[in-house]
Amino acid sequence: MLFNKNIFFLILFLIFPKQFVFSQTVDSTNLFSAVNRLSFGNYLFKQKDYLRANEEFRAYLSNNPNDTAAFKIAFGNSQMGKSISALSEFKSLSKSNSLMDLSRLYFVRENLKTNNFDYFNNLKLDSSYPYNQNIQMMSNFSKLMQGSKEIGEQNFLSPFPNTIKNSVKKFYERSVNPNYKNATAAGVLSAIIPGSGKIYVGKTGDGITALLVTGLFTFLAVDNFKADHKMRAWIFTGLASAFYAGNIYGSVIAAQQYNIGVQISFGKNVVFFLKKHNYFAPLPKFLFK
Amino acid sequence: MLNQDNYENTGHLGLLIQIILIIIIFNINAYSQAVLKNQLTFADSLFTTENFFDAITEYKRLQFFDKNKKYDFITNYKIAKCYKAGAKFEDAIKYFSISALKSKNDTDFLNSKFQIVRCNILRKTNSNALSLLSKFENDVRFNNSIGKINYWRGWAFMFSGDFERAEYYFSKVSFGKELAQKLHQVEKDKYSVNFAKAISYILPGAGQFYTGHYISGLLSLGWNVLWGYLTLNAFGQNRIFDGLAVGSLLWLRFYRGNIQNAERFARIKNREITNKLLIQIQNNYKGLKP
Repeated sequence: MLFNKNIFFLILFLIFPKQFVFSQTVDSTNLFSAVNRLSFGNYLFKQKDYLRANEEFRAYLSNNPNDTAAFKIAFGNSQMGKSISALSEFKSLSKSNSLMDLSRLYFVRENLKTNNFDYFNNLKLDSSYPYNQNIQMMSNFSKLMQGSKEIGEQNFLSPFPNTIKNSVKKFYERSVNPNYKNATAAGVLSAIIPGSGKIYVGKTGDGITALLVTGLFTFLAVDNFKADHKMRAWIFTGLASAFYAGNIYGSVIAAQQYNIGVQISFGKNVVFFLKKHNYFAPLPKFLFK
Repeated sequence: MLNQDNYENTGHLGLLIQIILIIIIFNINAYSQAVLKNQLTFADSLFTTENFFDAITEYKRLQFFDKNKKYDFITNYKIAKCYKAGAKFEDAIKYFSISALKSKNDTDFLNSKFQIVRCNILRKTNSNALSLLSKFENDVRFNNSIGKINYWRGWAFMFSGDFERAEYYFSKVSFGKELAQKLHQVEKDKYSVNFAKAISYILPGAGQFYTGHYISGLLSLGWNVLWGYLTLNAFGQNRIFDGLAVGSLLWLRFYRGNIQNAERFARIKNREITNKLLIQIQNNYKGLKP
């Protein structure tokens, strides 16, 4: 009989262990205890719900100093675009012992993210710093985004790993040779042959229209002068001149717009690349715990 | 005999200890469940007082600590409702979809699915809403919900501007009759765009008169009469070039403009009429809205 009762008890323990264990590892009686808030904060952080995660981390940190949680708050702010807060938090963490180097790196990363190129222009690299290579990569890209050509191709590519060197090289080449259209050339072409400047910039339809309209009014002007219809001839001369001038001006503007489009497209591609590689900063493992 | 007594006493003591331990374990479990229930009540109170951001946080907290997934459906459903209230329809649809998956009975499943349709209507992705409703018709779980399907179809068509079809679907359900009547009245009140254009072709300015824009109509008529007279006069005096120039650059421009204006004014008036109806429904209609 005692043996049967022991089996019964054993079965009960097998059925209900998780409540027993759970009660030991997490305080299931108080969901707002410090440990629980930290656990919940980590759960929200993994879901990328940074705003709520930061609230939980702050509640935890009010009584329990923890560099990892503080780093996560800074990282969350960075991801949400709250750069000023992120910069301030990374800076104060860079004085801590455990995450000093990583926080400094992320401080630099945040400056690149916010296009604070002055920071990189005044940056002095420390060869003993463990993330020196990452900083060098960020610095080179800041020069790229400023359109600076002072750094040669070899020096530019040297800090990048082979896995991304080809992509980085393409960016460098696009930066050095952006394939702009010359606005003066577009204007001169349109002055010689109306519409040709626009075709040079890639607006073929506009160019043909300009050619036809200017040509038509010019023909009408000449024809009316020959037929001695002076008033109509001068009207058409005026119209032809206006369209001719407009075609030259339009070609110059079209070339400038083309160049702006090239710059914007390049900028977007660079930002996309940087985001994909987390701005060349490694993601610490504790972010995923 | 003494050994037999000791053996029995030890057995009773062991049984007592076992029973006490079982009671403790059950109490821990029961207490944890009570804590979760209180958390749900707390989250619900935030939802009721429209603190949707905090409500989502507390529902998520409940989800995290609910290891048995007992509150899976209700938390996801309520989180979705919070997002919906905050007009974050994409997040709302995501959580309604999860709640549909976690539903434990057909009622919860249907509610979640219809909420997804309603979110699609609100964010004006009416084609998605209609597509979902068509799928529901082929699903046996929705056999008793044909009325609701037609009702939300009516809303989807109404939000996409197709009042005729909206009226048709509302009239098929008893609880949509009020909306069907309102839509019928609106269709009667609306201006015919084609009619406005047609009469403007015949008499410039007539289309604008039809829509109540009398000054614009008179101006259109005046310009067309003026340039028409000058054109015909030029042709009459054999000034062909002048006739062509005035006719093409001026008369034709004002004639086309009169037709475009007639169409534009009719559409503007119709938009005003439909917006008035939608505002009226938003403020006064007591039935179920998206």
